[in-house]
Parts: sequence; structure tokens; C-alpha cells
Amino acid sequence: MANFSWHTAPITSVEWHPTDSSVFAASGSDDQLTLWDLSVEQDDDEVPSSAFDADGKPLVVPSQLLFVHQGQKDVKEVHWHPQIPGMVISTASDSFNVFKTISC
Amino acid sequence: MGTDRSTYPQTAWIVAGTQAGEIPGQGKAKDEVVIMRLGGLSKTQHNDNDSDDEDEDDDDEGEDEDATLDFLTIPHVGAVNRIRARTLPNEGQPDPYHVATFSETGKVHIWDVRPYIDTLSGPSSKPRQKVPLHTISNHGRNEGYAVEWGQTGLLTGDIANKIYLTTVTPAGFHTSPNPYLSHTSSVEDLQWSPSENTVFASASADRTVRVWDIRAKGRKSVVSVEAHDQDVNVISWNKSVEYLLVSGGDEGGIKVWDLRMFKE
Repeated sequence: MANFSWHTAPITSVEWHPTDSSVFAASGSDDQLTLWDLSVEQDDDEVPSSAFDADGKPLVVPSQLLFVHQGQKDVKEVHWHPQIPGMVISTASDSFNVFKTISC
Repeated sequence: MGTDRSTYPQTAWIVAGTQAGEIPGQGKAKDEVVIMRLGGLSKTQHNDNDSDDEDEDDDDEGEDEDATLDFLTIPHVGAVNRIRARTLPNEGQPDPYHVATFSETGKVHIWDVRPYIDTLSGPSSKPRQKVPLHTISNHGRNEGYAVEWGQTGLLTGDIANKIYLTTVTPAGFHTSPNPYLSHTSSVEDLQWSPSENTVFASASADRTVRVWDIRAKGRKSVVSVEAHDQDVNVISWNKSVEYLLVSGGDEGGIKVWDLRMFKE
């Protein structure tokens, strides 16, 4: 139904948001934690993304990708807090991160 | 502590397991189950003087409180491959509070962390057990990474492709002696259906995602889908839209599945 190949290393964890049924979080061995919303549709009128990769080539950012959290090494698990809306916890080789970004 | 908590400062509880490895010159380090209370969680404060930010004046919640971390530990034999707390829907505060760990030794231990939570919450005289309530030995020496609690019971999956179901009754824990076996490689993750309590899904290094019904004769999977180009590491079953499953693979791909498309 949907196929996202954003991460560049094995996916280590994936979890749906407890109450918002179109949102999920994912973590990978590429040290990224991503938040996705399936209900976001591709808007053809949008200005192309101004993100670039390390080689200077423009990055194609899927419109469903809401947020990328970085700073941890080798993220192993990501979970939504079951009761505090939007709160995410992640565990990695060096730390726990507890944060809240998106508004649901 | 209730659902839909949205005021700051916040408190969150977590259980974690260690994979301590070796201490150079000393041999194997001791592993533990860690119960943590994170308190005083507040919004990150910005130090810039941004006059466009209308919210600044109103937002003085939790400004002066630093985040706190309190914890207690339970010794654990072997590295913790996976730890899962049992969440019971519609039940406020389960007592005992069960947590399952899959050890690298092949054993699955079930702990009651209620006395630990009580101690971290305030003065408590409840004795804290340092041994598990129950240990599942059905996996033998085969370690595993898949652990999932559900209304029907606890599912555990190992690297020898087997899945065992352990039910919880007032009399105690009972593991069915016969495993669910259809995968041709290590079982990596398990998820109960949010809507049907005899149905569960599994992810495996054999690149398939399978759906099972515990009532099926022969304990074989009912549906099998070649999901990824490499090992399927993780799956999550959407709690509110019961036909949506998301999977993640070793190749880095994330796929969302509509289970209504899976052939029966």
C-alpha cells in the first residue's frame, strides 16, 4: 500500500501512533528516527525541497515524512508514550531520548 | 496516571534491559532489568529573545524544574534481547505489573515490577522480588527477540523459527507445549491483532510477514506474504485501523500493508 525507502540501513523499530491512525515512527541503524503521516498527500504545486544530501544533490523528501530526529548512534527502539500525546522515547547505543515534536 | 495527559511538567515510566557485554580483564558484566521514573519533563526552553513568539509570556510551566531520573534494578541472567511490559487496555493500574524479558540464554522470564514502581513513587514496604515470577523454558537454548503481550497471552518467538503462546490464568502461567511453526528462519517480531484476540502476525528473517490464528489446526500460518528483499525486522499493527500493518526490513525499507489484500 505504501513503500518508503528513506532509511539507508536496517530498520530497527517501527510503531504506529497510539491514537492517530495515520502516523507512525521508525528508527534505523542509519542513526535516524523518522516520523511519518500517511494522510499527507503529495502536493504538485509545492516548491521542490531545498534539502541536499552530502554530495550536494537535491534530496527527494517524501511528503509523508514529517520529522527526522538525529543525534543518537544506532537507534534500537522507538516507542510512543501510550498516554502523553505525541511523546516519543528512543533508545540507542549511547542514550535514551525523550521528546515531543508533532502536535498529535 | 491517566490518558491524554498534556500539561507540563510530565512524568513517564520505562523498563529497560541491559546488554552489558564484557568488561575488559574482568569477564562478563552483570545484566539487569532497569525500572526508571522520568520526572519533571518540560518543554525545552529557548534562550533567544524572539519577540515574534507570542507564547513566551504565557508559557512559564515547568520553567524552574529540572528533569529527574530515579531507577531501581533487578539482576538478570544473560543479556536482555527484548523487554516488554504488559499493558492491559481498560485497566487502570494492573497489580501485579508483568514485564517479560527474552534472555540470550533462551529463557523467557516474567517479572512483577509493581513493588519497584511503588518504591519509586514514594515510601513503600512492599518486598521487591529479585527473582522472576515465572520462567518459560520451552525455547530451550534458542534465544529469541520476539516478545509480545496481548489479551490472550504472551507470544515469544526464537531464532529456531518457533513461536510459543503462554496464557495467564489465576492459577499462573501456562505455555502450550506445541509451538507455532511455519517460518523458515528466525522469528524477529510478533504483534497481536488489535481486533481479533485469536489472531497474530509475525515477521521473520525468511523475508515474510505471516498472519496466524491460534485456533488453526496444525499451528501453521494462515497467510504468508513476501514482504521485503531482506529480513523483516519489525512490524506494528495499527490499533484503530485493524487492517493496517507496517513493516521494516534489513534493506531499510518501510512498507505499509492493507491486510484486506492478503489472500485467505
